[in-house]
Amino acid sequence: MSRFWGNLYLAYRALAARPLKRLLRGEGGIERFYENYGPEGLIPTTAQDRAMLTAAGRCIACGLCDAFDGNLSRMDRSVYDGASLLPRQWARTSVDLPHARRALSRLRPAELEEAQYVCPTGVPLVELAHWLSQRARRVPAP
Amino acid sequence: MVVEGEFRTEVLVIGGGIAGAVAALAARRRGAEVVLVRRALGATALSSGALDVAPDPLATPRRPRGQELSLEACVHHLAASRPDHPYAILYDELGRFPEALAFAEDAIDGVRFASPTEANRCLPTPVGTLKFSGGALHSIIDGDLARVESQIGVVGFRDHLEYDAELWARLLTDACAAAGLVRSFVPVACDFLSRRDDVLLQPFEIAARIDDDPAGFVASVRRALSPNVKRLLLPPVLSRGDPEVVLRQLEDALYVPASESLATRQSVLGQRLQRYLDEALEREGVAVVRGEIRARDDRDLDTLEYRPARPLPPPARLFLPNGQEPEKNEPGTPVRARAVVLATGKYLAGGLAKNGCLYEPTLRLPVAVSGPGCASTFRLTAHEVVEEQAFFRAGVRVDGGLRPLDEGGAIVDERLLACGDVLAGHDPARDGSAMGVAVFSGYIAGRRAAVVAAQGTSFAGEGG
Repeated sequence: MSRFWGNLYLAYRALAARPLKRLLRGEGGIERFYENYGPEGLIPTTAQDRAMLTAAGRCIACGLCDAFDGNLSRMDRSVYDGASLLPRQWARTSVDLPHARRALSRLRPAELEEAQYVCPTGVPLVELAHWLSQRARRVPAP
Repeated sequence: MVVEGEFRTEVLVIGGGIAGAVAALAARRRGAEVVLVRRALGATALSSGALDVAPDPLATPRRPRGQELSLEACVHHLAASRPDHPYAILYDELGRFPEALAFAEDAIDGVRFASPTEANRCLPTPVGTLKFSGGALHSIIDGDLARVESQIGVVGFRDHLEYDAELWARLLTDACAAAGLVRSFVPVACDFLSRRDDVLLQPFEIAARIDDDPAGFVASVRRALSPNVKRLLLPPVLSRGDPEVVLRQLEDALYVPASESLATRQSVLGQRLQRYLDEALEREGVAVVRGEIRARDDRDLDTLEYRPARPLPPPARLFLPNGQEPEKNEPGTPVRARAVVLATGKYLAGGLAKNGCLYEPTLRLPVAVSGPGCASTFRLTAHEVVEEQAFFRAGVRVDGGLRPLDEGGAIVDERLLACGDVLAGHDPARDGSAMGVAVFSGYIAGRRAAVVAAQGTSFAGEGG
């Protein structure tokens, strides 16, 4: 008998209580996502994000791009350590992006063109820099 | 070379690493008009500065020097013991091996090989190991530890995270002892890098700093040098251009001969070698074009197209069916060449690609692993790094004339030649013969391409 009441309670939760709660709260999944994960620096991943992450995933950390990065000499080493940071670190997780804002705001994508040309695996560094700047704006401030 | 909407040359070399450069130079020396197309930098620009030809067959981890056989004997042994190795495929041409090495030394500044009758040189690395190699850049090769017996000062940078003189000296002493060489290394910790965040400088930045102030570097070494040092071993960061200036200043000021070690990650020496190649190509009149060559139809030299160098765009679809490449919508410029040399390297440079199966992206030539065909990547790698990795031996199968073969063993096209890492049968990382294969096969392919171009009646793209 207790099994019957248990199943009935689960059915009530699934078919009535939960849909009604979602309906009455009036919030979409995105708002709730930000509410839950925003403070940790996590943001939703769009289809464009996925494509850029795949492109960044081609990086093999050879470091050739760093040697041809014009931005490196313009920034303090504690802020920016070379173009390979973009695919190796900042593209990996949005959690690091608030810390990268200062470097991203001073990054000149045009100066990444030579670094992009020498990349053996064809990581689109210029496009990645633009995308990371936009993505950093979407991450709530810590 | 792009004239009226088409790209025309006598010899087209695809790939700008050491194999492509040697092929281009060899063809040019035989009077052909040569264009070299490269998409990006590849394994050559990441190399350590060692130009390994063939390992000593009797070398083991316990006896790393082996029997100290001559380079020629090592090459012949490799050819005899590995029937699929490019040296074995080119067995009839092995008599020309010394000629190929001499050609590379003559055509490319900074490249030095031991004489074919000499043994491999014993060269130190910055991580305190020894590498046995038949050649190296000129700033390295004189530091052969098997030949120098005096007290050696190893230069490091005080407080830098990577180049610690004391640790390096200790590791080299141990490595030499393991190789049966009694050598004495003295740490020379100079204070050249003294700014606040110099501790994090990358190798190419240290090289740029030394380029800017060679006298300051020499003075810092002098301050740290103990009087009993008879020879200096320097970290591989002397210069992004020509290290001769710093080496000469060091020798003039300190009265001790000096040489660089091999490089590891972020190799300044690899980039220097690439620069030497570029300078040689420019000097000899080879046109270097940034871009990519692809055949519109599989294995059809008459449908080659050129596209300017662009980074690969983010993929529209995350998963593509086996062997399929992302589509390139922009039309390419038709390519007309009398002979084509494929020197596109292996995986790193994009000469081979993996997408469910292995394929050769430029002309869609069959990739051979243990047999021809579109090889599945399943079970091509062994668990232990030191084991033989079939994956890294995969490549394009060729005949004794370096002409790629199809699945049935027939020549794909008489006008097409292949050289370097794209060839099947050798693992550039494991075999200890990567640069030797690149130089030798590049030399043979370049000469043949010039002959094919001279005999050719029509350009590829206008019908065979």
